[in-house]
Amino acid sequence: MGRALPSSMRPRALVKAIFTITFAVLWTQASTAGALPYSDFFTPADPQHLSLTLFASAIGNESKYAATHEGFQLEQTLNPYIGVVGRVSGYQIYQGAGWDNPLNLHPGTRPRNFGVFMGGIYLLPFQGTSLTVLGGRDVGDSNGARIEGDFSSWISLHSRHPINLSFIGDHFYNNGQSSGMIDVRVVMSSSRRLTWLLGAGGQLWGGGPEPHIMKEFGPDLGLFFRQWQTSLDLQAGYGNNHGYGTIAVSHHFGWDE
Amino acid sequence: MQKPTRLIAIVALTFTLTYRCATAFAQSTVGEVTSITGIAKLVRGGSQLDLAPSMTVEVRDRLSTAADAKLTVTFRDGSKLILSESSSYTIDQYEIATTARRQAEIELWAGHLRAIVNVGAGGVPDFEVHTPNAISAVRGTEFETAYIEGQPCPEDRSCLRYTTVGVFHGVVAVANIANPAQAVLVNEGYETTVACEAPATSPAPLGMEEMGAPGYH
Repeated sequence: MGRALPSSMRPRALVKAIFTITFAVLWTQASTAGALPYSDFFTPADPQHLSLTLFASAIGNESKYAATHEGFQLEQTLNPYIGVVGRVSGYQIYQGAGWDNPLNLHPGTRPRNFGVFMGGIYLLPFQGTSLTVLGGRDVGDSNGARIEGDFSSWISLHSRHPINLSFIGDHFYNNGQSSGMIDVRVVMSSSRRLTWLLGAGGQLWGGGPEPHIMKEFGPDLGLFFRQWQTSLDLQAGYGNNHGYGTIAVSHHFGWDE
Repeated sequence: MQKPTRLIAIVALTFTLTYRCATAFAQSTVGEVTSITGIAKLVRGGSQLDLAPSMTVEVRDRLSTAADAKLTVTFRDGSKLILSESSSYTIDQYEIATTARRQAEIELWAGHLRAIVNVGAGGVPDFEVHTPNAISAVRGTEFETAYIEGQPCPEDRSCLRYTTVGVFHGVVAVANIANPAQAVLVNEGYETTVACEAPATSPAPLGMEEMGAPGYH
């Protein structure tokens, strides 16, 4: 099992990790960009853009944690660098506990269902880099507040094999658990229809009902069907909960206004 | 004996005139509209016409599409140009001898244009798409050019006019029109951007713009 984490340090450690990774990548990007061209910061984005993402995912592991998650996310530009985002999603936890579990108790004999309503802002400080900060509340079998930070950045964008670094951090106030999902992927090939990505990633979680830092890591495969604006991500690996597998699919719509 | 001579003269004159007209028609008519969705217009010799399926197109025609429209023109050598909504282009040059293309030059004024170039038996085609700030010279068969004006270029937000070229099959040489010698070769599955007076960027895989959006993980 993992190392114990002092309860007062759990959210702080997560926030530190997010900021450290964010600033490290931003610093790298800024040094290559040469300057920060934010002269149009106070002008509205032209054209304004509204996008809708439908998503669904499932996770299962050998220690009998099984959950599904689905919903939609809306993003609206405000200026070229900032937009607002809203997300509505539903969770089903069938059994056990895992990295994205906000429940105090294990589901027992019946699945636990709850909805999550979140809102926040996203920042686009550089081409290919985004940072989204969300806050919201669970409704249903979980009813606490939660916060989330999503960071994604493309490195060596103008190369044959750009690299994507992404990090998602969550804190669930319902049970006091914090979690982080990290992923590093490389574009292997691209065509008019399909982009292939290969990489590795995993999850870390701890706090609340879980007194130790838990972790699981493994290789992942990403497919982006460009014509359909649909992405499919698969990951399998091993960790404290033994073997696990995840599948996620999302579909994007966009409208210039 | 006067009647046969006059008859021969009339036949000869008719043949000559018909041949010249046919040759002129063959030279100026380079293709036809094979698919149209929504409203598309053609400007020819100062007059504007509504485009319809099977209408012929000629050199120096300017074709444009309205919002939510799409237009496909198939040229006599089998090549196709697919114009997306709110876009326009001019056929500056399209030399065809029988069914083999000798040289083609298309000027994209606004929007997105997808070119499917038929290489055929004529070897490497001399097919170029120009925008106000870039040149794409085909060494392959299928690519898409977009010219965007009035919006910040993702590569350089201070630049408000840029061209992107994505290659689906083959190779395309892309350069800034201000410096055609400094061309970048874009392979299949990659795209490049020409911002204002800057040279074409090093190619990036297709789809990076979408995958860099906040909703993508």
